[in-house]
Amino acid sequence: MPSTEPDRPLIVAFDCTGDTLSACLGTREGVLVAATAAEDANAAEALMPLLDRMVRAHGKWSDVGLVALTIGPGGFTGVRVGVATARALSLALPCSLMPIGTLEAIAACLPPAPDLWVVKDVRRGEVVLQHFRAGRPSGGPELSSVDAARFRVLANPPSQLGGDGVALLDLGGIKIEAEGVPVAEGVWRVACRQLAEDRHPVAGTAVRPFYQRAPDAKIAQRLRPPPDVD
Amino acid sequence: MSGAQKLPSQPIVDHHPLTLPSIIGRVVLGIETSCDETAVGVVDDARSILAHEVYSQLDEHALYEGVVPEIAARAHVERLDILVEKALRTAGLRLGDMAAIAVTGGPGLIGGLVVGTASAKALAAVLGKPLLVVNHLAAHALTARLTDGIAFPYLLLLVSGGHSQLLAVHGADRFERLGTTIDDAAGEAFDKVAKMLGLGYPGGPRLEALARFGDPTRFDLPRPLSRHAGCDLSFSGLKTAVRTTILSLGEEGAHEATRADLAASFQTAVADSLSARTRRAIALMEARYGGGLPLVVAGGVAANGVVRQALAGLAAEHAMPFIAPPITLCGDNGAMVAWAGIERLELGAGDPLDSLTRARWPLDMSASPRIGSGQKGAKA
Repeated sequence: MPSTEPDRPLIVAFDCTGDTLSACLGTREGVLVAATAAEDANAAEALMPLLDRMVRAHGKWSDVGLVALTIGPGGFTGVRVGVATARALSLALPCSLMPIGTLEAIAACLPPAPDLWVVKDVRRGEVVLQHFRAGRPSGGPELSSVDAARFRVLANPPSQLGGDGVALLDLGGIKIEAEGVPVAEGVWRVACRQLAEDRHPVAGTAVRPFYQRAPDAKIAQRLRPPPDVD
Repeated sequence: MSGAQKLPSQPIVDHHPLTLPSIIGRVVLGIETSCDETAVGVVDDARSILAHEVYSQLDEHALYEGVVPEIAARAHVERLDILVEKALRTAGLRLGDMAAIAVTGGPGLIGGLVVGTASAKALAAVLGKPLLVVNHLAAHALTARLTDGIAFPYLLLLVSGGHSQLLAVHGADRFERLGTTIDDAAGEAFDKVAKMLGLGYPGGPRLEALARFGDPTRFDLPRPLSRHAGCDLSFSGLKTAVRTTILSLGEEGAHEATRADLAASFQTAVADSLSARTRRAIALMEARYGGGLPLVVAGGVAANGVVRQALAGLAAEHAMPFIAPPITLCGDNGAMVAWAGIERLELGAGDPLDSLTRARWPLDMSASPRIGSGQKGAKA
């Protein structure tokens, strides 16, 4: 497992699936440096300069033994920038990757809670939500309308809520936690936890984006199957 | 000025596993993801193509009879690093042997472009090698120097799914637009007419295949702008004429022979139109430089046999060397990007890691835009 090799101790972690790009550099012992790009920064332009500055300020690229990243849900372009960057880093270094769900990374940024829903705004009146128990996912991320998500959460009110989609749910008095640290630090925390649990990183080519929706595309009329006729 | 100097031609080597890094010059890896081909090439400064890997997304887009940008972007991210590895294996080289990483930075579909540039930036940063962000059109335009080693200047007809332009190529970074389409690109017109004829995707090659069985004289289709001065091009009216013809034919339009005749008539009209406008550009170049400069055609439509034949005839009339890339280099590919990177490297160029990707990136920045030009279609 590359990150346990003593000569390659650095872990690069980043998130560009949301509105704010964040990255951090650490080891298994702690975060060395964390940074957030300007709010209007475009991941395609800002991610690699940010990572390069961090790594060169604290070592060299050949010291990096693991790259951890969020794979979605989130903005499709940001998700792809992250995955394409990580896969190319994996090829060039070479090193393994730790793909992490964006909602799990957000959950890791929040104070520990026995019961947590993370809700992410994915536009078009929809959210993706995921439930966590004692910091661990109790199910996968689910795409939902705002109304259905509200019903789902109110049916079993959690001790804590987080994520930028919570405000859309209009939940009244339930406590909402602001994200405590940039998401990249959550990525690093989950990566370290998984390493401690002997969950192995994967090859670059095994890392695929998580898209919450299929592409908007209409099959050509000529090629559509005929409607069923009783 | 005398005619262009023709350097000794070198055969294209698609597979070169025995090349030793120590005996070759500077080698550049080229990445192309601007539309529906994921492609990686490895080229050296002696004009050898050491690897030329293309993954065509035809199957992914076939159901939609056109390029779906989101599907294209998804396919690029799943394939690109695999193709890089494959290209390196084919070349018998390692990433560390590369002198630079070149990548298409535009114009094209932004979702695909960011996959290519994000990957190239990561490779360049880790390797500590220059990043070369290449204009996709420049890569097509410079392909003739890779394949035939011609000197500047030359006249270029660039015809693809997103672009139709006549350019004077003065240098690797100096392009003068002599004319451009004022509406659709030629390749776009091929695709749209193929769709009207029920040929599916990709339209160009299928239309050409059907046209082989047709009579190109049966339908009298227009040659747009034929009476206009200048070198601009137009294909929208021709496309509309085909649509009107199909409607007027009624049921007969569905007959295979009629469709073949219409395909052949359309294809000939495009070839005539391209030839006529290129003839005007030749006159401009002859007035400036004298005769004998090469006529180069590039881009996906350059793969069309009838178009190539018409342009070859035109070049012969004017005693110009005619250079058309091999069919494998007409479409989008990584070798042309790698070569354009080498040309930029020779000029001492290099780009920062925060380089922009550009959906629109004209070759001649001083030329005024034409209404509608290159603003439609997946490759616009």
